[in-house]
Amino acid sequence: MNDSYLIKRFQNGEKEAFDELVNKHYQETCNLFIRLSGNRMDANDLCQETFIRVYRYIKKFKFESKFSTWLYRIAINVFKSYHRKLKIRKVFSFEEQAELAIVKDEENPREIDPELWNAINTLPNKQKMIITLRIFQELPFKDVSAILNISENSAKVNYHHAIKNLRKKVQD
Amino acid sequence: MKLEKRLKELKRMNWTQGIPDSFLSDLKNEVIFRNRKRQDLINSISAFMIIFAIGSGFYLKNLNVNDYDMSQIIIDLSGEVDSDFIFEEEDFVFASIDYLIDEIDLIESGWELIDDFTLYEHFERREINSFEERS
Repeated sequence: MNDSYLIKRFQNGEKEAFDELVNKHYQETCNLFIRLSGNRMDANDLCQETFIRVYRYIKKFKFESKFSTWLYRIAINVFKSYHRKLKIRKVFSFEEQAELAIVKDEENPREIDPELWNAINTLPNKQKMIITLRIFQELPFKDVSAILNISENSAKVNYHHAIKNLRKKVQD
Repeated sequence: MKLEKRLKELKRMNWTQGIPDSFLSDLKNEVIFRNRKRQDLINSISAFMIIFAIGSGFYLKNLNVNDYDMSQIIIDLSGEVDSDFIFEEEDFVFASIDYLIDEIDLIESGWELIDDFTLYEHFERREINSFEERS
């Protein structure tokens, strides 16, 4: 079903339309977070946080952009604040606990090509997000730039820098 | 292996197979919990504001009573001052001004009188001097 139709239904007071929206976009959102965080548990929490924000602000959605672009923008903001918290946690030496959480995760996504995972993870945050959105979510540069609130050229330049850095790191 | 191929391999991986049953119910519970939390916060702030307003009202009321007492004291003190005396004093000032303005001629004549006296003294001294010379 069309996103705009579902949003209009929700804006007209039909709460069930939101369930359909979540059902439709859950998988891609959760996969985005797994790729960005490398942790299924955190990805699920981030996904929940994203849909809570969507629920809170969807009444103000003005159909000026695609719903998926808007959703990704919220998701990226959620990830940025998560990343900030993670950095603070590392400063206060909770790093070991964070690592433990990843190890306990039975279906750890990092087990598939760990070298490439680590290489992506060590990229600067912006480059990591561009690689994820462009390659894994298969979004055009126009959408990537809109989601990250940067120019299309900047997105392209950062993408090429990211690929160059990845080549160096995995010794391609 | 080429980087592009490895990235494609990684892209093919799909870690989520549909939405978990608990996700939507957890999401709704979390939304309800946060709404309740926000409502509680709003209620606490409102309650605090009301208490603050009432407290401020009491304080200002007490402050006003004190001010009233002070003004009473000032009034009482001013009541003790003889108003007739103040009136007389004012009258005296105005009367002095009137007198000075009206009697400028008198002052002038006074000065003239003084001048006359000095002239008189001058003539008197000249007469004495001439008398001494003659003798």
